[in-house]
Amino acid sequence: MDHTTPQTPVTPSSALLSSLHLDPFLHLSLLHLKKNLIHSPKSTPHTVESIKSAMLELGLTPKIRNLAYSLSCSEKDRKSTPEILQVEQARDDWKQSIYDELLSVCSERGVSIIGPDSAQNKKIRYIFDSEDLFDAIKRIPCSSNMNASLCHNYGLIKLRLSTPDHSALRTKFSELHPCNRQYGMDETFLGSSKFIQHRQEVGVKVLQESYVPISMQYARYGIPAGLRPEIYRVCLNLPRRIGAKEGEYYNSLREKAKNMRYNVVDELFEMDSQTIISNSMSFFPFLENITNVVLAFSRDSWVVQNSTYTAHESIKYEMSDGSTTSIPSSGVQPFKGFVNYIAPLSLVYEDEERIYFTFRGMYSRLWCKLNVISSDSGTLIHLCKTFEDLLLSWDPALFMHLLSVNVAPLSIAFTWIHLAFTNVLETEQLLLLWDRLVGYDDLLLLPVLSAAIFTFRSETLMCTSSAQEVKDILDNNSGRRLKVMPILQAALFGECFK
Amino acid sequence: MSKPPSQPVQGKPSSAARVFYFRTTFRNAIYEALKRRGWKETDGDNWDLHWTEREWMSEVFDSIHLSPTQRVNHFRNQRELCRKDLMVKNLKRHKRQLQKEQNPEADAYSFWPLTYVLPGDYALFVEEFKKYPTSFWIMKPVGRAQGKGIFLFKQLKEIAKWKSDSRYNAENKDAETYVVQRYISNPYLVAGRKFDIRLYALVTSYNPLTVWLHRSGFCRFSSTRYSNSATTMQDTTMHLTNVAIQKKSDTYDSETGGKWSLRDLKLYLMSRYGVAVVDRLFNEMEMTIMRCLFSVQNIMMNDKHCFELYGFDVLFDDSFKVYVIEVNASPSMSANTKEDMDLKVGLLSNAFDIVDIEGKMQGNETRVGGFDLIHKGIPIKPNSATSLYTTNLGCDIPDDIVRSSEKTVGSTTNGGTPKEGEEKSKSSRSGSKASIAGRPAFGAGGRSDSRAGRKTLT
Repeated sequence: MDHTTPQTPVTPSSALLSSLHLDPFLHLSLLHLKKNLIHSPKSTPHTVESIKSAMLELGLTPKIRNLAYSLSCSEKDRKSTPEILQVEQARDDWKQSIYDELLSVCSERGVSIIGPDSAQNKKIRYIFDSEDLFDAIKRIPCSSNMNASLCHNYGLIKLRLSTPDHSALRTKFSELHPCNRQYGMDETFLGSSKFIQHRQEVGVKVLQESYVPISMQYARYGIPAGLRPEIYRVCLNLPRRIGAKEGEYYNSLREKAKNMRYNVVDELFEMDSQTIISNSMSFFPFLENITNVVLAFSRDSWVVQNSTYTAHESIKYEMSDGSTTSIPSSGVQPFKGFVNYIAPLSLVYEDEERIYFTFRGMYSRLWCKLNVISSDSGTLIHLCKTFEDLLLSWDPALFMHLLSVNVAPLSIAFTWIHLAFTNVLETEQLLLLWDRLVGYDDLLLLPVLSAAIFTFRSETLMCTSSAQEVKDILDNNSGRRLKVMPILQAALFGECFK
Repeated sequence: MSKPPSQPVQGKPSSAARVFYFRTTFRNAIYEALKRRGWKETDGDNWDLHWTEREWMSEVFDSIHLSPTQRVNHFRNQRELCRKDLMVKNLKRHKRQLQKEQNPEADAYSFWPLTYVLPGDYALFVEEFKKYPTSFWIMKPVGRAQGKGIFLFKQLKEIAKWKSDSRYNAENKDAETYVVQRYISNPYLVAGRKFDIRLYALVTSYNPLTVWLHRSGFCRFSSTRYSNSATTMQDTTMHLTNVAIQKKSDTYDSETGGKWSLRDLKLYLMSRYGVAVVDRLFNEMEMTIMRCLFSVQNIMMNDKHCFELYGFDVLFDDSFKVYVIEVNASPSMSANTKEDMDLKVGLLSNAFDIVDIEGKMQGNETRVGGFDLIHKGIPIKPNSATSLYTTNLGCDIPDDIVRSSEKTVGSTTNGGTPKEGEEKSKSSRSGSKASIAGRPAFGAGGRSDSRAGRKTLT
């Protein structure tokens, strides 16, 4: 599904109405409401209040509210500007190259893309990784209709994209200002027990409301560990607690994965899981769960229908009965490090189903933007450009120094952004960052944090005299001691502290 | 090589200029940690610290005279705590004492499974055995380590062979002592697997009882999914979590060593049960350690030359009841991964700071590196105004202003490695070593004065 296809204009109310009919629970509840309250012969003259309370009783109110909210958001999401030609070309090339690579690996191994495992235990190699994506993006030239001299800039991203400046960021992320108490910072201070208790009480009330924008607002200040599982679900417009239907759906996906194997694709997902998770100090106990989640994900066509962006091309395969199936159904091809998006959730949720639905929601809202080649704001290229522009404006001396030792800052920050810091931060800090990503439904903090880390390390970096030294300082392992909130606050609001 | 600090510590005679010697036969994290302090090794008797084996303690310690500053890493009769049968004997005795005094604390002394010492208590054991027909029992030789000789059984006839062996005959003076315990068959599982927890406690004196507890520890997982079924009772890789046993399993992962950090466990549990429940659990683990120490407090031969770093193995079941499996006086200081080595070297370095042969401590510290002082004659708890928890066990270890081990060793790396860079900028900002538990880790944050200063210039 190509997101650039223009859609027939839909008014919010008609969309709401059609959605209401599509959801069986809502449909039945509304019928019930109509029958018993509005058309009942015994009904007393009804007021708005009585209808409202009846709806509340039936549990309709939160559902409808959230539905209305998500529809209003999707209106905003709709693209208004056309894609830049070069970017569109790059995206098509990228998708095509993955497609071709996948098919060639299949033929190398002499297997068809689908079908029983031919028990090939030959070592398989990744078909692409972060570096490949990075190369694809770096290659995109500046728009041809611009004067060549105007295209010169110090960063690797040649496209002239407009990125938010410092004051725009301070406004956008005003909740993160140090004058606001928040998790990741204030729970460690003097007198914090009151703050923690208060935060807990507010969180419980927020969950009772189960209204998406309120939960998101709550998440921006960081979430206590005990409330995180449910708050994430509400923010992603899921009911706070998992229901039987969701459980069944997940099991059906697992069945699909067991009954029909995707050769090569499944192998790659499994290899990713095996390599990354079993070597992870924090997640190795959950290897089996994470592998199951990633395989189930690949069978889920919901993903391709509901993601804001489609990152990759599925392979269309004609089955023996004449029907065509997409491989993988999710439209997301395996690459090195994909399981990193899933792993942290294993410390948040108790079981696979719960991990699954939150991961799926986060992918369709957030992570898909990190894997698509597009010039839209908020997606990978734009985020990379934002990083470069920010670092250049915050610490031009450092930027130049790094260039002088042949290190393009983005070459280091790229994986941080692409993998949402999963390979850098320790889990507790990572989740505090993700709280904000979910709360703002925006990935902008990824380049902001990246630039902030560079400036935090500026003193030591300025002393380097070789690319290797720079890499050692900014090595992923050194990130395990980083505390996200202090660094973000200092970078965004630092001038306040003179 | 080792560079003495340029200024002596306030108020203390400058012992900083002299070289310190250690003696040890170990070549693992112990050796590494001591070398990093800049200490020199010696074979003779001029050592300041002797990291000994237990045999040396029982054979040599009594016969030599030690100078006031010399330290050894064991107490003379540590086996009162560390031998499985003696530990249980002391726990039971202490409990009886508390009951006699009608002290309500006695009820808390239920953190070990029903245990009997064999062959002596065999008859008592059989009587008790009959009361629990569905239970499994575990046999452990008291003198062996690393899971050797341990086995599980359900019926008496399974140990008939063991019993009939003349080696275990009650009349045989040289009979190997075993403990038999009721097996905890409902351990708390993570991802379907059983694990136990290794915690480190440093005791620098039994009078007054002075105990430091390390915030981190690790969970040792079994590599096989847990099952209560009788058919898998003999699968040691499922039921015994000792690393030595796990290493033999096909699914053993040498990269992670099957060890999960205590912090990750805490985060995992908090997401499921909330902070209060988890804090209570961790506090219970701390209290359990203390109770073990209280039980032997009056019979341990205190000696100002002695200190001991204990490895406590604890377990909790699915109702969050904590059990102590055993206490090790010589917890393994070998490491099977880099992370493991870093943890152990850090732990030992902190321990050496606390033992303070160099005379650098002020004496009022409540946290040194990852160790919190939890008892000094009286219990010491985190300040409730600053801390969310009633115990710091499992909490983050703040980056220190000064880690004396890194301070005494000269710089050996080229360029500025991130750790050194951080250490330098932090130590220049604050001279104080002592750190109150719960102090925010500002060092790790971005709000360095030099940064803000630079920002105003741009």
